[in-house]
Amino acid sequence: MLCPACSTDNPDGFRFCGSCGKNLEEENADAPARTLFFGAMQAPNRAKLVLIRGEGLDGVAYHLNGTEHMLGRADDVAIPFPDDPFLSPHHACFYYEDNKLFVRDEQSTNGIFARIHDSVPLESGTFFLVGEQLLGFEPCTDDEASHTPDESGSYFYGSPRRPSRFKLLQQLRGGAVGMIFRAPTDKVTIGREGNDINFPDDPFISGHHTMVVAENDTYALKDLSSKNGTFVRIDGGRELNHGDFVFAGQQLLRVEVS
Amino acid sequence: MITCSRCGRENQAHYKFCLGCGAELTAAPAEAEPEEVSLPAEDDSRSVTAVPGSVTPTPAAGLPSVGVQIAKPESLAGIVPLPTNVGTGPDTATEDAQPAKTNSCAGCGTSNPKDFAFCGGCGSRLGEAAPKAEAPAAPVAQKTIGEMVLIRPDGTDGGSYDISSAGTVVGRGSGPIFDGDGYLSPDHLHISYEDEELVIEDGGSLNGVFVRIGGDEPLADGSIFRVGQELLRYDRISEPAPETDGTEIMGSPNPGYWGRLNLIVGPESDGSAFPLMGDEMVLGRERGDILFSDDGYVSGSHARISYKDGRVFLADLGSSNGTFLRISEKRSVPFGAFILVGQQLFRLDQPSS
Repeated sequence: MLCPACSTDNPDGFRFCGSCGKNLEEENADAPARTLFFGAMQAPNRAKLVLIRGEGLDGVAYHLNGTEHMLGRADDVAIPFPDDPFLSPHHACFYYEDNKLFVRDEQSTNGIFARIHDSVPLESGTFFLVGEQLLGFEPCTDDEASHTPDESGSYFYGSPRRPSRFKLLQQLRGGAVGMIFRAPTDKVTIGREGNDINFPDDPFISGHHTMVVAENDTYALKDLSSKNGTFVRIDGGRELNHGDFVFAGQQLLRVEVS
Repeated sequence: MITCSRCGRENQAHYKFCLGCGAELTAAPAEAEPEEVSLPAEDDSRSVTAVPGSVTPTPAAGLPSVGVQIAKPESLAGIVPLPTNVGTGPDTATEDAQPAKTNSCAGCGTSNPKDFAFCGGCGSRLGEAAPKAEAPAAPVAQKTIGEMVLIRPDGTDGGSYDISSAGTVVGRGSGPIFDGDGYLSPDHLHISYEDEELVIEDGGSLNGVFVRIGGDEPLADGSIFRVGQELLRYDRISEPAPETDGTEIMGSPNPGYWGRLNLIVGPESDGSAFPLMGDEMVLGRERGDILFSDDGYVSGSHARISYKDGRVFLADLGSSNGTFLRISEKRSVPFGAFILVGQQLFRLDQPSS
C-alpha cells in the first residue's frame, strides 16, 4: 500500500512505512473538506461538490445553489477548470429535479464518471476507469461468418481460439487503442498483480481492484473493495447521493448533500 | 480435442504429442467427427485428396487452458493439417441429393443454377469432363520454368505443380493438388517470370498469399503475418491529436507504445491485441515478450518485431516452422522460397527435368 505521507509503495501487511516510518495503520484521513471561500452560505437541502483531487486547492467546495450548474473548461461556467485539457468547454451539468441532485453529460468528449458501489451492469461500449487506466467493454458476438464460406466457397482462416463472451480494450490518452484482452472465461479480474489483467506500474490501482463478469445474458462490473474505486462512465443523466464521487477530465469531486 | 492419457491436458485434435507433458497422443478424439483424411498415403504422389461428403470445416475447437509447458518436439516443417471436414465447398459427392435447380460442376464442384452453360467457379462448360490441371496451351512456345512442390505436414515433399513461363494461376480448381483445400480461393495466386525472376502476386484471395521470411522485413500499418497457427496484424499507434474544440482525449497514460499486434480470429473479429514498445519485442511459445504458450507450432523463440528510426521490421529467429508474411503487392522470390497458400505449404523449385 502507498504511504500517505511519502507515497512509498510498501508491501501489504507492513505496519510502518519503510521509507519515512509513518504508522500505516492509522486511519487515513480523507482529504479534509476545508471549505475555504468567502461568505460561506449553506442553503438547506442543497448540495455541494468538494474537490478531492485536481486543479486548484484540494478541499475547495462548489456550492450548487442554483438550479443548473455547468462544469467545464470554458470561462463562463459555474464550475470552471480552465486548465484541464481533458474537459470540454461545456462538459457536464449538475441540476436538481424533485429536490434531488442529478448530473448529466453534455455530450462531452471524455464523459463524466461516477464511482460504483459494488456492482453495475455493463453494456456494449461502456467505459470505466480503474486507477489511471481507461478500459472499454465490448461483448463478443459469436463470429458465425468464420464457419461459413464466402461467395467463392472459400473458408476464412483465423487463429484458433475458444469462443469468448467479451473483450476489454485499453484506450490510451489521445484515443488510440493499446491493449485488448479477449476474455478466455466468464470472469476477468483487473488489478496491480495476480489478476487476469495486471497494471503493476499504476500506483492508483489496488492489488485486486475490479472484476468483469459475464452472467447468463448480462454482464456486470464489480469493484473488489479497491482503495480508489472503480468509476463507470455516465450515460445521460444520473442521480447523485451524499458521498458519491464523480470524475471528469482530471477532477475528482465528492458530492455532499446536506 | 484429444485428452492426453498421461496428464489429462486437452490438445487440439491434430496434435501428435501432448503440449503439456510430451506424451504421444493416440486416443481418438472425443467428438463424433470423422478422422481427418488430409494426410496423404505414402505412395500417393499427388497429396491431399478431396474429402468427400463434407462441407463445413470446423476450425480447431479452441485452445486448452494454460498448463505446464514443456517443449514439444517440432519436427513439422509443414503447416497445420486441415481441420477435419474440410471440403471443396458445395460438395460434389451429394450432387444427387441437391435440389433439381442446381448443377454441380464436375471440375471444381461449384453449384450452379440449372440453366447455366458455364461454371461460375472455374469457367468450364458444364456437363463436360473436368478441365486439365495444367495451364491451357498457349499459342507461342511456353515452357515450364519452375514447379511448386507441396510440402507435406510431416516435412516430406509431396506432389508438384508446374509453373509456366506464360504465367500460372493457382487456386482451388487448378488441379487435384489444390482441390481439397477449402481455405484456397478459386483465383488465389499468380506466378509469373519477369526479368529472370519468379514473381508472385495475390489474385484477390480471401486468405492471402504468405511468403516465408528470414531477416528483417519492413512492416507497414495493417501488415498481416503468421506465426505457427496465429494470424497477426500489425497496427501503428498514431500520435494523439486534440479535438477541434481543443479538448484532448483522455485515456491511460501511454508508456511508450508505438504499435499493436492484433490476433485475427474471424473475418470481422479480432482477438486479443498486444501493445508494442521499446526497440524490439520477441514472439514465441516460451521465451519472449509475447507468448503463445498453447500453440505447439510456435517455436520457443520464434520471431522478432523491432523498431528502428520510426520503421518497423519483422524477422524470423530461426523457428522450425517459419514466419510467414502476407504479400500485399507483387513480390519477386528466389527459387527455394516457401509460400503458404490456403493451408498448404509449397516450395518453388527449378524445373525437375
